Amino acid sequence: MIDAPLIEFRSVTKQFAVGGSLFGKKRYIKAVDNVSFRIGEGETVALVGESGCGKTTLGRLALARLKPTSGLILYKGKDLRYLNKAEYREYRRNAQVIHQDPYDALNPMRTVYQSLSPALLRYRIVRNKEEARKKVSDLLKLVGLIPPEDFMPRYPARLSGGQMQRVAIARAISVRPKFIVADEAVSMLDASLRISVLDILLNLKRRLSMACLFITHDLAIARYFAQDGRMMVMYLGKIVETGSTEEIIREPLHPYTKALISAVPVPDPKIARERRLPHLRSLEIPRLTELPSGCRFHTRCPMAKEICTKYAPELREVKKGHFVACHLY
Amino acid sequence: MSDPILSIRGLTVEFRVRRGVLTAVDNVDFDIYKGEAVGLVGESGCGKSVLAHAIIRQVDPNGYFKSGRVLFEGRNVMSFGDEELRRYRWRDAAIVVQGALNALNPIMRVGEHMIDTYLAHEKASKDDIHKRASDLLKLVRLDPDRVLNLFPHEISGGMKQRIIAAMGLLLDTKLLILDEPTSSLDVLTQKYFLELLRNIHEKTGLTMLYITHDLATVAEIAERVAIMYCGSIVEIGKVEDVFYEPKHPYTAALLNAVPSIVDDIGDVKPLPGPMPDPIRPPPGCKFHPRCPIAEDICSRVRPKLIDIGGKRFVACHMRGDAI
Repeated sequence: MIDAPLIEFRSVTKQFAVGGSLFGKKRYIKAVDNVSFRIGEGETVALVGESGCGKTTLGRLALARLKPTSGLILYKGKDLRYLNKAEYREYRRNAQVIHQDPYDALNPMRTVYQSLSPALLRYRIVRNKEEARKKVSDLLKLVGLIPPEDFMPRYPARLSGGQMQRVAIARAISVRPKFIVADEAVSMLDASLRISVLDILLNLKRRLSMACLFITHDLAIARYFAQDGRMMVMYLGKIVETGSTEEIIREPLHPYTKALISAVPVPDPKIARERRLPHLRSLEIPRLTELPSGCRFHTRCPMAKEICTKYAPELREVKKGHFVACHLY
Repeated sequence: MSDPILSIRGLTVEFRVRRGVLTAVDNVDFDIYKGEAVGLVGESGCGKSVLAHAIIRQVDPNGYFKSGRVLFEGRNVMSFGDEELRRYRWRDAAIVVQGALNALNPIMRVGEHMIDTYLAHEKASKDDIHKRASDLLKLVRLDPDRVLNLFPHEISGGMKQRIIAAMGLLLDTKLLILDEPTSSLDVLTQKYFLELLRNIHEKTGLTMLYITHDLATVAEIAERVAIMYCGSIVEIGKVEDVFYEPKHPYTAALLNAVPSIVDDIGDVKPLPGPMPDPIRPPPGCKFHPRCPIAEDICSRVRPKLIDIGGKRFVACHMRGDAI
């Protein structure tokens, strides 16, 4: 199994029951619908899409926080369902998450040191408290919280948003994971702070050769983070386009990807005013409970033809390494 | 440009906090001209929202207006009586904040809210208001027959923002202040909302103050932009001038820190150093500890906002000559 990718999704579907109150009829939605992809060791994959497209659910599946309704999720070729207790524990260490909201991720009653040290001891990365102090100090330096002695005794309330997110990054990398899921990791931060936090994460990723699934709705941020990696575009539970990041940004194929890219604000007044949103047939994203027939994007797609209302397009390779699910290609 | 519709002179707003006194707005001079769309940009905590609320004379209970004046069409807002102030808010200047619709009464429909809002400030028949509300909702691409009958909890995030925009326009406000109006929106809805605002602005000549931390959205919407740092405005100018030729090192650093989807990605640089403690800001120019071109004078003397011609103002001893 030397060639097995680090993470592999094979036809993964995750279904949730919604409604089902006393009188309401229970209905099912597929937050992730028949999705397949691979992430190699050290690889960066950006997952982009609007809210509710299933990107967070996909991230939670990859972290083994959720079980798929059908399909397989493999870690180094091993089915996550059949890991024994020790292997599962090992996987939970190897796959770490950085959340959108550091206020939620950090316990307000614990100091920075108290937030970082337990995992180090639990996974025997350090043997005693003295080593833990040294290690926490090193970690804080790595994420640019200098001098570390100043930050260790602080409670989250005395940290800024950017500093909290750095603590969350330090905690995620402290157990030497192979794989990080960053779910809107910089969305809550000011635009001006995002790059400094992303740079820290990028440097660590390279140094520790971690793979990363970078989930975001912001394509400019996704492009920056996954500039040497791949991008997957998700719409209503399906991956509609995937390929190298630069190719997707410069030559998008799917009308949805094109719309998303044209909608990204550009910090250049002349260019910004020339860029127009393609005329979408509807601004509203359909509900997952009332999925459109055929291609899910056809209700909004400016290019939709009759076939699009009838048959769902499959993800096909139309250029080397560039896959798209659209009847136009 | 005509006369200013709004003039802020020497405005200082302070807050009593546990550790002392925080100067959120520090001796600010700022004009808004009739019919323009002006952006106010800064990082969180820079005082941009406090400044925006000061325009309608609103401040949190632990804050107070220490000095300065806000003149709206020549009238001093600070000296308004209660009734005058009530009429001034909405009719002359209205502010639209993030999550505004979350503050709505959950058991009143959107239509009732619009009628109530209108009647609180103007006299009109319900039919006339209903007609006007319908027209505005159509303008923001919503179906009035449906939307006017919805309760707040039935409205999605993207719809909310458009309803807020419609409500903001309902009273024909002379100055519409938008505080981070797009931060909770998805990319497509955000772009649509920005295009919509620009269309409304171009068609009706509505005067707008657009406040955000995101330079990219300002590039799209504003004709003029003011950059704020630690309570002070450090640069003002036409949006093209400020974006293509920033004069203040802080503006230049902010612009460098935004990744773009169209250019090459190579030149993005994070801002240097941390934000200073707002309660004990550095002496002299508040940006000097982070500034790449600071000299001795910058740590001693606070630079004034100086007119450098071409409707540009900059508060920097170096005037950006070395950027």
